Amino acid sequence: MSEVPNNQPAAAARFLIIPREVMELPAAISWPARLVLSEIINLYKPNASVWVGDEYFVDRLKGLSKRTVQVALTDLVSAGLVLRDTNQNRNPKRYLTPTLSATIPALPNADSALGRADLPQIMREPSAESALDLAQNLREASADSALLNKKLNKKGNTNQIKTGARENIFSTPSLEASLPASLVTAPAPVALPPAPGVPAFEVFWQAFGKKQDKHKCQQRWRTLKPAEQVAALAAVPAYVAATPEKHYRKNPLTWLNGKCWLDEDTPEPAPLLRSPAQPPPPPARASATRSKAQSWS
Amino acid sequence: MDTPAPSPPRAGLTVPFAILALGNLSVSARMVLAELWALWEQYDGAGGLPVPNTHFADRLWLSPRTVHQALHDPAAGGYVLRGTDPTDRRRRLLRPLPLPVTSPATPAGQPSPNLMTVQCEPAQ
Repeated sequence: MSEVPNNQPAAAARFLIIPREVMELPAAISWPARLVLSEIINLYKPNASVWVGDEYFVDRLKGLSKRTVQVALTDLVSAGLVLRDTNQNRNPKRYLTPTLSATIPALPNADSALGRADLPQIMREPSAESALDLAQNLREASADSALLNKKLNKKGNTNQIKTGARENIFSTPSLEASLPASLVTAPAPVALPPAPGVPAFEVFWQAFGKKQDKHKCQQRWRTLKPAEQVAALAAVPAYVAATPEKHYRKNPLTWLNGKCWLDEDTPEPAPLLRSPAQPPPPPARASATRSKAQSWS
Repeated sequence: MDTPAPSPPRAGLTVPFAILALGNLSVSARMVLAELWALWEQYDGAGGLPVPNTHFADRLWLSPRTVHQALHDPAAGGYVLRGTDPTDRRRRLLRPLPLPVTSPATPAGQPSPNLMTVQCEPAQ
């Protein structure tokens, strides 16, 4: 351990590149969340996920408490900007995958209107430029870290990324081809998950129709994993169609707590007992009481 | 005095580690300082930068009040020098001052865990 100098340069750690997409996020995304997201994007490589802990962000982004980092990550996940997945084994790890580039639609003719020649070099306007610079930094950091690894644990491949793609991305002749497609080309708009500005919960809330306990539902919705949220959004229309009368529809909180999108027996669409335009029948109890009072008088 | 070109709204921002390491400043203050350094890098004039608070507010999605506070802390900490334009005293000038040199390594002297794990691949 003493072989590692304290000021070991780590090229990727000299800067925090905040990508253009992060700067364009709406003001509702706080700056701690933006910094965490930028760090996740910088750490992300193709076919791999970032699995650093909260302590890494606390150490890297000085001044942020662990609680702030946790809140920022929760906000990013609920906004659909980061996918969080945890493998359940002896050593559970949390994998973070940024989805920002795939969820922000491309701005038409933005480059031509802006004029690329006018952009200052320090700003690293397009994602491709910053990604290339990042890749250059990562190349140095990769070599440095490989040397450090060999010195530290005497194992060459211990810390290699355990994914399907084990080839070194920097050994490919075309660096652009090895970068994420979203960083090189203009991102394409996708339907799901919804855009960052439109929370997925609002989509669910509007689709469910029965609007009760919204605050608790929001809290419960945040606890769902992104995959569960997608499954819930996909199952809501069928459930709403099967229960046309809201009175017989489950409360949304009950539906979420029970994870009813997993139900195999979906309720069959029941015929309406009365048409919606038909006025409700008069209360029989009131008429009975009235007749009894009349008989006494 | 030349006014620096406004930053394009779609540009990214590069935050040096020396600014990130200023843990005594708020996140907003650090971002304002990073933006000021980015402007200073492309500024070829002398003196200071006549940057209004609205520039930082628009660029960093901050309120004017937050920008005001965020500029106060670096100035008080000695990271930014504030002055006025001698020809027009209504113009506020800002000039970033050299930052303390810090090491990007972790305090324990070990490389960051992410560099050891995620980014590391054996040299081929």
